[in-house]
Amino acid sequence: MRTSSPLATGLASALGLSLALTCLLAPGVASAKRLTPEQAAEARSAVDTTDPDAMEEAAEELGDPELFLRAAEALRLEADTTRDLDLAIRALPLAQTANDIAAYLADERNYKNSDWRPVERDRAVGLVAESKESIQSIEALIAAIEEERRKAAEEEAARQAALAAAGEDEKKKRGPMKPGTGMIIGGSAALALGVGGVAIVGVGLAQGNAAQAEAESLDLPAEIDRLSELDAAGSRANNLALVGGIVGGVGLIAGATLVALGVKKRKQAGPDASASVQVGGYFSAQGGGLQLSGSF
Amino acid sequence: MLVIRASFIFALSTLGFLVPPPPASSAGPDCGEQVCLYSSSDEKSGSYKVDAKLSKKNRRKEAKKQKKQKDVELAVVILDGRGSAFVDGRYLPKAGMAIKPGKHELEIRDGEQLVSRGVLSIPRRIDSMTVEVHADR
Repeated sequence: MRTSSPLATGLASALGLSLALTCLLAPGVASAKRLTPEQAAEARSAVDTTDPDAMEEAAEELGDPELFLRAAEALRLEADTTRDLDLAIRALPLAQTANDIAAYLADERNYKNSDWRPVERDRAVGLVAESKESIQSIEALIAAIEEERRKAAEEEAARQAALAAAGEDEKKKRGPMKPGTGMIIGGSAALALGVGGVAIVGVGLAQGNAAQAEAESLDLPAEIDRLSELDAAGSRANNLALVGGIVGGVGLIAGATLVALGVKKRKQAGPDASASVQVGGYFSAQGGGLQLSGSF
Repeated sequence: MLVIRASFIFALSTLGFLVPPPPASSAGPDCGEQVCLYSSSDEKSGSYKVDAKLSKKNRRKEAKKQKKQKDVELAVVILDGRGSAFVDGRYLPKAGMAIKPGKHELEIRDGEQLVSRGVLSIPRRIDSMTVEVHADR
């Protein structure tokens, strides 16, 4: 009497199972003539039940209501956790197809006449109820997620409306701009630019004077190169002073004109709308400068 | 006599210009009350007999008869509703399936509601056939 080792038996079983699954799940499964519940169960056990895509693909191939329902339930659970509406929407037709196939196979005539039986008829009857329940759960989940999204959108709209209303209130509190305000603001900016130009004149003149003083103290002709450098520096300082003078002059004249016109307009509008701008100098131990102040 | 025949041919050819040509696609639909058939052949459209059934024995006979014939790609499209299609007792994948020509029992089902059932006759020597089912009719 021949006996086989446990290893050989195990290898043979594994080979047999893998051959059976290959036959069932290979592309040729569509052309197979018959399917028994046992063969379907074997094929089902080879499918990765954590992957809804793999389950759906195998379910289509086998026409298996069990796998359709498992894929639908996996998607429903994930949608329930993540509140992902797309997943829930994807789950619905899978559960509906499970229900279609189960209802078809639960019909006695259909089951008797078919050579393609992914489940026993009794199980098909059970699956009709299970898939119906799944469809109801998925539809309820879709409705719940849609309601959550609608409420969130409403809350966001209310928040935006409140922010917009707060902005309007702030504008109302400030009131409309008084007459001449634009001119006064523009004039003030031009005055500030003019003051800056005057400061540049000061800087240019100071640099020029420094270059001149250094040039006079040079030992010529030994330091003739340095003299050329100082000459160029003096020329740059003069240009700076010239540009500063032009900017300062234009800025001060234009600014003073605009401010004057703005103040005049404000005074014409009435006593409540008066405005003033003061330009003056200031001196301290560290230096001095021009000061611009006003109210409007 | 020759003159008469010539003018008759001329009249026919003139009529030929006036009659619009058939659509560029394959065969036009052969529509029943609820089901339209679209075949890849201009001449063979197939037929669908509503509420007819095929026994297991007849299915086997038909399969044996058509064994050596070329496969036909069968697809079922359900309009204005939903459902799944079953051909000869087997679920038809959404992408369709290769099937032998001849008679087949077709059932469209939306859960426990039967949308349509009948016997589909697929002609030989065609490449594909699409069955369009109007679920609302």
